[in-house]
Amino acid sequence: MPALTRLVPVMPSMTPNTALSLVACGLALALPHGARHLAQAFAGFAIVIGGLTMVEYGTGRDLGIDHAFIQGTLRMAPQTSISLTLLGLALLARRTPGRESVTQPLAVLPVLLCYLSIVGLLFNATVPVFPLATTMALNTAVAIVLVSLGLVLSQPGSGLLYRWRSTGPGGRTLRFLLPAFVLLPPFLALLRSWGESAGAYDEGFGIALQATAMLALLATGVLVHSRSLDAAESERAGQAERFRHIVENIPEGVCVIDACGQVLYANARLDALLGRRTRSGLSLSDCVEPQVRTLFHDFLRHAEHGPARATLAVRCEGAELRSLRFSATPLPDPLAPDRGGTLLFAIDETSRRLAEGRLRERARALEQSLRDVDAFARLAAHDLREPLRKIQLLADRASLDATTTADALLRIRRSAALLQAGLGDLLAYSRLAASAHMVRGVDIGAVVREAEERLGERFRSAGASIVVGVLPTINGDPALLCELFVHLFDNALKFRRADVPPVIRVASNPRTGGKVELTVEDNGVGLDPADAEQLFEVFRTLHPRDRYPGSGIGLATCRRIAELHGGEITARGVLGEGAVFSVLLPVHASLGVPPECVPSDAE
Amino acid sequence: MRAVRRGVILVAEDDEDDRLLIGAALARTACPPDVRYVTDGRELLDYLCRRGTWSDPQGSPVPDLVLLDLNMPRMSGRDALCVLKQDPAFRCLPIVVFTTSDDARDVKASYEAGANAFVTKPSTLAELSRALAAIADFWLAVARSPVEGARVEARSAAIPRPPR
Repeated sequence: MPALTRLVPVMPSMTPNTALSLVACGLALALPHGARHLAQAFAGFAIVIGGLTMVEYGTGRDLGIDHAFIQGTLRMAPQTSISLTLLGLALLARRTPGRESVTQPLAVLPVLLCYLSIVGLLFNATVPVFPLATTMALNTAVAIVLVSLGLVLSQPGSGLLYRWRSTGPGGRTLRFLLPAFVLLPPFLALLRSWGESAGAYDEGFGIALQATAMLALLATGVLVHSRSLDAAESERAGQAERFRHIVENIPEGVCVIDACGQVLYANARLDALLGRRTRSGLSLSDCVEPQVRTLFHDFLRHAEHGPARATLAVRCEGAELRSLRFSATPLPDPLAPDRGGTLLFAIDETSRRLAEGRLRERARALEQSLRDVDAFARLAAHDLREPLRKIQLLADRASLDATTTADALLRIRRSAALLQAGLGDLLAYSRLAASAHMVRGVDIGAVVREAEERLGERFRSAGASIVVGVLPTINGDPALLCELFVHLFDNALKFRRADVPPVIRVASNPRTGGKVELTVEDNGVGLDPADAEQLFEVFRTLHPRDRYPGSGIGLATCRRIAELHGGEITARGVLGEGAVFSVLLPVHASLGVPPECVPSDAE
Repeated sequence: MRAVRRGVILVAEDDEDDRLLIGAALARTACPPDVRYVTDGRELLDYLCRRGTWSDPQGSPVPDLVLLDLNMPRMSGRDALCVLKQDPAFRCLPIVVFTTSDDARDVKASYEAGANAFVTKPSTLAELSRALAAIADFWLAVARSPVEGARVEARSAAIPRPPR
């Protein structure tokens, strides 16, 4: 029995009260959750025994507690009574819902007292002023330490075990330093006393040696801790920098705003999209066009509850209007749930919308052109078949009735000539769009002279005169522009009045919008204003063919040439007094290029 | 048997050769009709409303049938057809479209506008003669003419003159 209570013969022995209290503590720790109240009762038992013993020591009176269970035994050591009381309180807290967090702090002092006792026993320590200080039994101390360890292990989610298991720098430091700090100081002290007893050095040098060794231990600990902290910090900073780099370099504008719409963070791409530096504190709604600001606020309100999208027009610094597609998601702050902001992404849709608009424009132009081609083919088929059909009919008639042969031949020749002219004109007209056009500075005066020369014989036979004013130089295709004037002069000569020698006037007037108006005026039969538009349709002749020959393609060709230059042609006049053909051309034309479309508005 | 009135056919045709050929073909039919000519849509309206050159009722008898070309200058046959068929005074005047076109869209549009028939001009003389003989025979001998019954009244004010 003494061997059990003392472990080592000369050391203090464990009292029955201590043993009972320790059993109660062990049960309080080990009982399952269902027996919580019983566990609380056992913890209470340890508190009562420890507490009453403390009272006995404090008051100096014998309350009979020491002999309550077994007669003639000693009183437990004072630090055992303090340890048991605190351990009992810690166990009670462990078993009381809502009080778990004070468990481990309560167990700290008992562990320290036990550590003091164990180390003291190791060195055979005595305290002359308070002899009781060294009377704790070794097995008591070990048992209390084990129960405290059990308490730590029973709470894996908090306290020491949680820190021990953490993967962060704190966990690393703890796992490295705690065992060293617990085990090394007694070991150093042992070394020192061994040296002293061997007579290697005196007590003073021993103290100095131990102090130095402790300094080395503590310094190593601090160094290890600080290095671990620095490593963790630089890793975190590197990660943050990498993230910042990613966010700064993604092709979308990114920003975080608070609940009031104030910018907390914005990447460089967003600055570029908005055309200004979005410093934190700036209100994003100030960047949005005033007329869509309400829309933007609605969008932000939506975004507080879930993902939202909106495409809005934004005026950039250089007064440039851009169409930006925003998508937003709530960005909750895990540390402050009520202070969550919104994460916004912005994509520039301007060029896509521009391209879409251009595509629509092209599609429309293509459709129109297809319709034109269709109408053109119909008319061409009709008008070219007509002379052929007549040639056939007239030949039939001549073969039936010999008396009409001479007349038929005349008519057939006329129809054949018409057919040939029509085919030639048709070919020229269809070549207009297909041929490669040379755009350069064209002296209209020279073009007019060339056109006049090409029709020289016609001018002479009609006795026509031409008056040419001051003409500009414009960008265009010289061959096409010459063709234009040939057709206009040909038209003026064709529709002359029988009794009046033709006079053609060519003039130019500058117009707004970088355009110039070229006019060709004649004194011929003129035209009915109601017919002015029909004139330029393919195969549209206003006069019966037998009076004025013509395929009806000439003026259509003129319109095509004007349109290819980005211009237009109109006619006005008075019946019997002459006609004026007006060609409006841009000074700097670029052939065949459709007008740029304007960007569509925000959704 | 009642006396057969010599039918009047008004030919609206801008091509002189066609006028000649149509006239020659109609003249060779069993009962040659009285053929009158106008050269475009405006002249057709002027004739029917007895305006200008056609103000004399003797010189411009009310036609029993109009042969209408579609492609004509100034006012096309299509426009003239629409104007006539929308006017109560001329709605029952038989109009046969006689044109080079065989485009299905032209055929459909003409019937929708109220044309009584659509005939594509044949390309041989024999077919031309046969077609015109059949047309003249049907509209002048077989079918009842509105000129005899509910007579088409030529009202000079009925159709406003198109703007000049």
